[in-house]
Amino acid sequence: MMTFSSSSLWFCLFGAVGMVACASSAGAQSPSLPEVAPSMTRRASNTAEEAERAVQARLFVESAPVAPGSPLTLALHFEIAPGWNLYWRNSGDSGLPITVKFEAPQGVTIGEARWPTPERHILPGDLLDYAYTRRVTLLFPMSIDPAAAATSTPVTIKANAKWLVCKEACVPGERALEITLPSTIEPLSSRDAELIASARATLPRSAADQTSPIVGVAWSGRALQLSCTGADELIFFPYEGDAQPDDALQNGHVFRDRLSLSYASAETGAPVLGVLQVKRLGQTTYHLIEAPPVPKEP
Amino acid sequence: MKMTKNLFTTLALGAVVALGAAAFSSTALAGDKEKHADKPAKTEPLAKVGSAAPEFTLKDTEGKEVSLDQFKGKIVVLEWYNSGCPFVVRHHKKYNTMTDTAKKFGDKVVWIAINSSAPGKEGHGLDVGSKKEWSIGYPILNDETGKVGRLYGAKTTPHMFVIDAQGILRYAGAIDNDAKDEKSVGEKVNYVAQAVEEILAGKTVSQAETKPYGCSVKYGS
Repeated sequence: MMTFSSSSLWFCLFGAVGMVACASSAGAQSPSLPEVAPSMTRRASNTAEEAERAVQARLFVESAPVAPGSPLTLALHFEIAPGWNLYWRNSGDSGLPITVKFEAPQGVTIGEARWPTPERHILPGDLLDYAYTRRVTLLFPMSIDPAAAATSTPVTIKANAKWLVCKEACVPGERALEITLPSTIEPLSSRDAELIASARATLPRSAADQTSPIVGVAWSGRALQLSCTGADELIFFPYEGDAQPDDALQNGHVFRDRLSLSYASAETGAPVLGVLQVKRLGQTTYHLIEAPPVPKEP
Repeated sequence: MKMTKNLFTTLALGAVVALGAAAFSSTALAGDKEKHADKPAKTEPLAKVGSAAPEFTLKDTEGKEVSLDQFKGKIVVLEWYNSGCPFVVRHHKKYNTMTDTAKKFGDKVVWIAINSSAPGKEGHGLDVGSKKEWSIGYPILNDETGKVGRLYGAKTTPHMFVIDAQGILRYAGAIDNDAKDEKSVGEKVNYVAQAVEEILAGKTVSQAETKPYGCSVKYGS
């Protein structure tokens, strides 16, 4: 069973410091998660009931459409009961990412999920997962075509969210959510504003961001070298896909200014993407890493 | 025999390192999130595609000992198993992927499930019931110490391994290419069936390693 120390609770409650951020692909998928575990024992059915209560999901928009066509942010927020966790876009060795399928009127465009950076969860047996605990808010850029908006007010958006929630045992979950955009401007509650701010604080900056510390990305043979001068701590979170580092457990988290990950068993030419979490000068920042494809064997 | 001895030496070394790490960082090994610099000791799995599959002897649900070496000359499929895991449920109840694939090859293939759930963890001690409920016709072996799971580097349930008639590990990874259960029948690739067919045809296994998906194997700390 996972337990929470006071320090991890602190991180979760005040979110921004160490944990979250990134960009994604949940948009158009419609996976069907596995069935609920068989109730062969009372323990199993109790787990299913507990898991059902373990995740609260809610949709909200950052602001009402101020002017037709202005960009909006749609937020999908999860409250996760202590001890349970959901998964990032790359769940790691086990688990399954959260998926969302939207249904919106014509003229409403919802972009790909932007995922807060997760935590590394190390499980017995040298397993490494990328997970969220306590809470996470996925952000979706949204726009409404003015011409279409005029003919379909109010605008109602439906979302079908699916996930695997785990606390030792894993249970699939699913929720149908709906939101009708208000036609008048309503400011966000301070709590919702804070949830959005926390999520944004940990989204990765693009490589082109001029305010970023200089992050070095280079291949040395089949090893990806990431560096950031002056950093005290680096953590690499690889995106999902065929090219995964062989040694993310041992080498994906270091307390120095460079890390090296082996892609020896990855396919040549596979793209390598991920988020580098940098702790430097007392500040934690998040950077999108777009490395050149895995090079040929030296 | 020489190989067996080497395996045990490596295991013993691994255990010493693991104990050291446990003393240094009990939180990381207990499944909590990382908080500090010390890294967990990594015990390299000894199973490697292209090399001899590690030998093992475990007991089935009737208490009968089953060893890998008794099946030399046959293709052996290993299926990591935990009846409480939704992904295992998917392939034994929603679809009969495992049983159907095993039946497809009849006596050309020996199919064995292995449960590495530690005592007190999900799926431990439920094999007799689930074997009956899902009409599983092959043995489910008890690996509650996690020794064989760690030897093979089994990460998820299910996690599949295909061993050829000469005892060489030829495939390790997922049962299929549909982790999210979203693909149509035509889009699905059963990697285990594919590997067995290729071995039977005397071919190289085209996809010898894939990323397994599922629940984490419920090892003891």
